[in-house]
Amino acid sequence: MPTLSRMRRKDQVMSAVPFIDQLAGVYQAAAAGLPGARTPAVAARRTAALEVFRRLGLPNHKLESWKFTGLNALERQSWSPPANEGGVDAARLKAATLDADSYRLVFVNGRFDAAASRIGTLPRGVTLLPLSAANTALSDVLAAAGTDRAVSLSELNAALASDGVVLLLDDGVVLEQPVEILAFGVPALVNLRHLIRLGRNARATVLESYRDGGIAAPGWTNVFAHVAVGEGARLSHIRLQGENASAYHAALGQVSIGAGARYAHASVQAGAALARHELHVTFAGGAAEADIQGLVLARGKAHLDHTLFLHHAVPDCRSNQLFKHVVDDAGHAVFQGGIRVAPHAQKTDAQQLSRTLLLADRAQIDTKPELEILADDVKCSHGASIGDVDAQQMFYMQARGIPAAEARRLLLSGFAYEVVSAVPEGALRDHVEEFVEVWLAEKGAAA
Amino acid sequence: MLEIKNLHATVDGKEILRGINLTIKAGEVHAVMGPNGSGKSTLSYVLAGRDGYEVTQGDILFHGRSLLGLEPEERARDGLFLAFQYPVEIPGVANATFLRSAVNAVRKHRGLADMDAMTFLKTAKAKMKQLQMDEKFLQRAVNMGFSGGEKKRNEVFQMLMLEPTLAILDETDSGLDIDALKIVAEGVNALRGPERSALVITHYQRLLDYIVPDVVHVLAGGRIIKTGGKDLALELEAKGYADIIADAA
Amino acid sequence: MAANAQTIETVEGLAGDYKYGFVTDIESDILAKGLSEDTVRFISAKKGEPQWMLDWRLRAYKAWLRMAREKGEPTWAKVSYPEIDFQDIHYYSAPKKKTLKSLDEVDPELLATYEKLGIPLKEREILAGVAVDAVFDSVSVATTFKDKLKDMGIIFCSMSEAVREHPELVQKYLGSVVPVTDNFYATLNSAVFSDGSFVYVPPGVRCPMELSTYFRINEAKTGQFERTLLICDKGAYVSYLEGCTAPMRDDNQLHAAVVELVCLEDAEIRYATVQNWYPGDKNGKGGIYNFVTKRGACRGARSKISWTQVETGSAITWKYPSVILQGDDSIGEFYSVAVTNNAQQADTGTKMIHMGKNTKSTIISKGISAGKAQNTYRGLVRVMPGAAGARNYSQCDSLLIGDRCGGHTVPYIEVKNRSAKVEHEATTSRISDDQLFYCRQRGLSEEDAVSTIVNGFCKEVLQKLPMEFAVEAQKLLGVSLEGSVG
Repeated sequence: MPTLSRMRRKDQVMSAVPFIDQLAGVYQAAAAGLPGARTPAVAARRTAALEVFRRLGLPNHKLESWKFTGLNALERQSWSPPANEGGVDAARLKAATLDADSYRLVFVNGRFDAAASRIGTLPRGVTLLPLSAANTALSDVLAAAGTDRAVSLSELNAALASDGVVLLLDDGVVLEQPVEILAFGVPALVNLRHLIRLGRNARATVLESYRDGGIAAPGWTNVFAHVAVGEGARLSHIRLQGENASAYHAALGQVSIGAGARYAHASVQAGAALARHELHVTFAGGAAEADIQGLVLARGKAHLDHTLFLHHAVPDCRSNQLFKHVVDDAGHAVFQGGIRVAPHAQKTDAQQLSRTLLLADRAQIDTKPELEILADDVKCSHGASIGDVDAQQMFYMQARGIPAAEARRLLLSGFAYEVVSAVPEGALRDHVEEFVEVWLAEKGAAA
Repeated sequence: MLEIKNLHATVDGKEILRGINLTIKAGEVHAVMGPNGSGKSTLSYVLAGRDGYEVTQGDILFHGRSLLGLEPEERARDGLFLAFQYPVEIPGVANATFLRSAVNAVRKHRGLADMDAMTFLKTAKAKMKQLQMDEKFLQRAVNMGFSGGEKKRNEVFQMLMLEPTLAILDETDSGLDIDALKIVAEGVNALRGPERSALVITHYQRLLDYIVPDVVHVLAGGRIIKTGGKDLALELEAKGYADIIADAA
Repeated sequence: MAANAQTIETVEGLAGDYKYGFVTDIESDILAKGLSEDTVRFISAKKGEPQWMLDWRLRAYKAWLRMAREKGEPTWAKVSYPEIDFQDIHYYSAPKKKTLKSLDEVDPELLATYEKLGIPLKEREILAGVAVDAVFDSVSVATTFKDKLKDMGIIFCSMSEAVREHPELVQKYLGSVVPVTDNFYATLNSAVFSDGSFVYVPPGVRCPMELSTYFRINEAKTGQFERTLLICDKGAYVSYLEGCTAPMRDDNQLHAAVVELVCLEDAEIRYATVQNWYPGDKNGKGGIYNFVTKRGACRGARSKISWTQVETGSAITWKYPSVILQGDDSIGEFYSVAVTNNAQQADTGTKMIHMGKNTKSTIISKGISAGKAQNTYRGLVRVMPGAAGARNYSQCDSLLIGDRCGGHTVPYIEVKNRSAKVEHEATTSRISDDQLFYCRQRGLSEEDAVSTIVNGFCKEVLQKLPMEFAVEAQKLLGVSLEGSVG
């Protein structure tokens, strides 16, 4: 009897083919108008990227890192490139902007909106411009994020990126005012791509914000950000996702941290029907630090995912992760937090904590905190807790005369504040706090 | 008993001990005093054979045999006991289990049969009573959640159980109140005898009121700069280290 | 619980002349290598099974063929090994008398290991009231104490016998917890399982002694596919122990067992495993592939299943003893120590599926990795929408010895009920130089010091084992980690 051998798995993505063709169609329609369209090298990179995406397709649950989040819903929509006209109304813009001096770049319809933006004069050693104006840096910005299957969305992004931000700081440059990247979702497929690079000992603060453009029809925002923090540099990176309740949002951030550098990241997701913010952080040099915080506020049927891969590739680095989730109605939060400590990455200190409050009967959380440790002289731990608002705390507040609904809101606000307080004090923190409080003030089933 | 000859030792490539000469005869108690950073703890670790403490010159003879090249457990089984300044915590391992393993390792080395559980328990309880320790300590994990004083008492308790010929007490007085200090000193004194010696390392003279030394050495800069009788300790207390060091220089 | 040659002889002596399903009138007691429908029919015929059992096996075999064709072996675990040639394995092997006698000449190094362990003779265990069912290669050799248990209505026999004598129980429960098509190895087991233990404890009966199965793989190139089914009826209680050993061989051997536990209202099952299959040599040559599916169902209200495992052996361990908490107020527990040294790989953990109200689960996992070994905890805690008031507490600690090994933690937590409370903690650390030096200063050798510290690290789990096995397990930890330091 012949030896059994494994037969090749049948192609099971038959139904996805028309969808992918559709996206290829989006590319055909948009290609001529994309930045760098007349530069052969850029155009070639874009078509190559599209081919990679065609080959890989959308990531699905067969990939371990997509176990809890499926993108099938995207295949049920029809997609087109964003329209070339129409802006965002003034009130909406004002509500979404930071109440302080900043270098502001606004994107509507996947395009830089010069009228709504405000870059002003930049200090020496600073390059800050929209991708659409960054002809020379384009190939750099469009470079591939990797080769594994999980990068298919970022390759789609490379093919279709219509704009984004390029922020480059020379060695030693300190940018006092925050850089504000503000994008409004529209009912179309929008691809934004950012490059943020800090030289040695440079310092900057970046607020990346994705907001509801005001049209309640499904849109798909696909973002890729490449972040390099040079030796001894400091980057404070805040990210707010408040797209409208029918939107799809997928983002991949790739961050490398140089020796002695510090990267602080706070991500709050409170909008969209389906959103995933995936962050890959690698320590490239010793004695560096990363503080990564996340907050998910999910209600309705929102499915909000934070996925983080933190790679301690070198010794002597410290990382701290705190991810919190407030899930109401039939919301669904996902947190995957992988920490990998490479062989020889001794003296690593990696801590991770995830906390979840489930407020409603149909609310759910899937979490997978993962430690992969290949060095022995390390301090690594993770913890996860899931439950409802603490009954004793509720009782204590009610016993002091605070009504239940108010007590609950206060406790939620306190729960969220731990993440909010990671944002630098001042206008920036106020802005993030307001973003959170607005969500908390809206009524969910639990209120 | 113990003969330290021109001992030089380095830690992380840095020379801490720079030529120590010291002889302890059977039955004698020696005190080594000195300011912070003089090399006191290094001396105790070098004697006990801790990794990373490298002898670069000189020799240590214990019962006439060189200790250099012997593993820590071989030295321990030969009768060298170190009461640690900072005893380490070992989660999940009961004090009794730990100590019985140690007692039997030492007994085996001496050609004695294992101490059975009943005898061990009886002996241990008697010694604990002597040190006014709660018997519950036997079941608690080694040093886990012990206060500073409890840890030190536990060190002396282990010493009484192991009956070493040379006990090195590394700042055993630190963290002890006066009552505990007396009890610990009584424990040490109980072990004194013509065949047993002790090396008491301390910062303060206080302990020496209760464990009266035969010889006192002053250690500074990795060398013994002065040696005298028990009065030297009092002199140190009165004048401070600076003067003595200045005198010796 | 490891045992030795004398044990087998003791058990053999008690059992008389292999009365449980041996066939000695064939030329060889080993079926030729290879797997086909004929293999399945042969095994079934060998055991004189009724048609329904054969049909069940054939259904499993067809399902397995489909799995092999479509997906192959599962690849999601963090273990790596060459693809297994399922045609290069003997699927049936029964010991001949000669084979048993030759056990006296077991590899001396293995005997030395046993001596080091100070393993008490099985005789002593039997005197102490442990009923033993020994599965040698694939066939149940003897079941002791059967009569005494029978008086209480407890059935403790080999699986083959249960199929013949208690078909109503087997038909009702076999495959009810681990379905025929559950996973690749479980499905293979369903097709070719050769023997195993069967236990039924009737309502209200508290089994007065520890029941025990002892497994041993002896023949080269032999797969062991035992099947254990344990049913604890309403209000009943049983404590069950299994131990595993195998001689050293250069080839890898496959062990794909299935254990099913059924726990009805107010019943309690405690299931302990001390697994010491041959782990292969220092360089990873040889050793057992231990791909086991163990699952219990807390079917009734207030029922309780507790898994305790001490895993020190096998080249590769792939094992997730799980509890399905169906009954309200039911309880699942998992206490595990997994030690990997040299080239061993372990991917082990548990699944706690909360379905009933106020169900509780506790997971305590201690992973120790040394040499070049890789040790992964993989666990799932799932709270279904109906599991109001569910509680889980998990603690997963890894201890690394040396800088070439790996310790990994992969917990999946899925909660769909707001009133659930789930807490998970995990840490990774190593034995500190301070701890080692402290122990050595007190006269312990370096290896004893490591063993002492490791035992302390595992204490919460070891204390869940019955006393006499806890002592063995402690010694086993020391032996497993020999040569891991220095």
